Amino acid sequence: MPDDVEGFRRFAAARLPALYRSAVFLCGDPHAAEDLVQESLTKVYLVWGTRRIDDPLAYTRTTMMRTFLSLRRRRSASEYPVDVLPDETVADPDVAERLDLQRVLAQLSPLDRAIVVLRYLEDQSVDDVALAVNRTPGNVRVRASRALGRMRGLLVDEPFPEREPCHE
Amino acid sequence: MSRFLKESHAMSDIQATALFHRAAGTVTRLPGHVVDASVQLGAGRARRRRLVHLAEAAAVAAVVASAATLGVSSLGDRGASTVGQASHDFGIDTDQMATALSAMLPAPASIEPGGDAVPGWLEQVFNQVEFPALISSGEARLTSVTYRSGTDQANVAVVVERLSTATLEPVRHHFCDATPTSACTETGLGSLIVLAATGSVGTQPGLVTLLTEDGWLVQAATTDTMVVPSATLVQIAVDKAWLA
Repeated sequence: MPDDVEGFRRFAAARLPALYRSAVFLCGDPHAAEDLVQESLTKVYLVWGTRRIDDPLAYTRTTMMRTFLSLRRRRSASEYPVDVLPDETVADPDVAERLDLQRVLAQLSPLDRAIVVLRYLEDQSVDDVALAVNRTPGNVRVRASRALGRMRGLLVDEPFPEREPCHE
Repeated sequence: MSRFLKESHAMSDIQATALFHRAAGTVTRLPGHVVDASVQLGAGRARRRRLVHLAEAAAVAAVVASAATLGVSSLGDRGASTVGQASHDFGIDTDQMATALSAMLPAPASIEPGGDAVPGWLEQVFNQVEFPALISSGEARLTSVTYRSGTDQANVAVVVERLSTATLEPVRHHFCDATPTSACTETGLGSLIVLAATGSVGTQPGLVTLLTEDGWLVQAATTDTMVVPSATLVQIAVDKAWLA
């Protein structure tokens, strides 16, 4: 049990909204996003106070990205979210825009999705993104550029395939 | 067509950032207490997983007779790297750790080298196990070990194969994504990853596969799944990978 449980709770409460937002764009559905945030915070919780963490938010962000990528890699049939993004009509144009964005993101590879979310949602530098996803800065630049190009090419009149599940 | 898709025909970094920020503003907030409570539960689950990994590591240490194994094993994740750290996490005094670990391990058992000769039963085991078509470097070794626990005795076949780095991801994909029965787990033992563990189901031979990040594929298989626990297959495979 971490010595500074209260400190962790304060940190988690303050950063939860941003972490959850990123997780929603990574996973594509709110339930998988909750699971991802939970697992990531659990990992941080286990080391909280037992080692020096200079930047807890960056540490948590990196933990979440690597957890996301790891979960995608070792996905199994044990748990399979059945709700797919509905092709629904939404009155709020901003919400509709987010759903469009989520559908487009779902067609990127998990790694490219992580890079795009870090780079453009969390405003991380290329170097920081590279650190979080364990790639070189050059590779991140190329992938981010290609991902944007891919997103650019995804038009609304193309049918969107079903998403792959975020969690194992 | 949404505003985003209209924009996306000429999306720059700045436009992408603006788009993400606009879209993020519509995400419903997550109630803090949900995650706060589940983190506590998740921590418990993680501890239990790590304790199992620690037990595996201890068993491996016994098998390879190397006390150093525990010292370099990252138990369950890359965080806790020492017995002292694990002791702190599990709330068990260091001097009680051995007792706690012993309780986690299967019944007293021994694993003896079986030599490099390939007996007929070993070939039979591997004929029953469905292996993926691997692109091997051609460097492979087939061995066997004898598992004894009480009056039970069983043979375990082990294949150690060197893969080229380029073939790792397809193999990983085969086990983790394309094989429905695979249970992919990071053991924390260095770069070892448990990719598939099947067994104790009907007459299907037990099979454990480990893929190390430096390119060793180790598979331990037995037809005596009622005798040899899956955890022991893991230990044997880890042992062989450790020595590879």
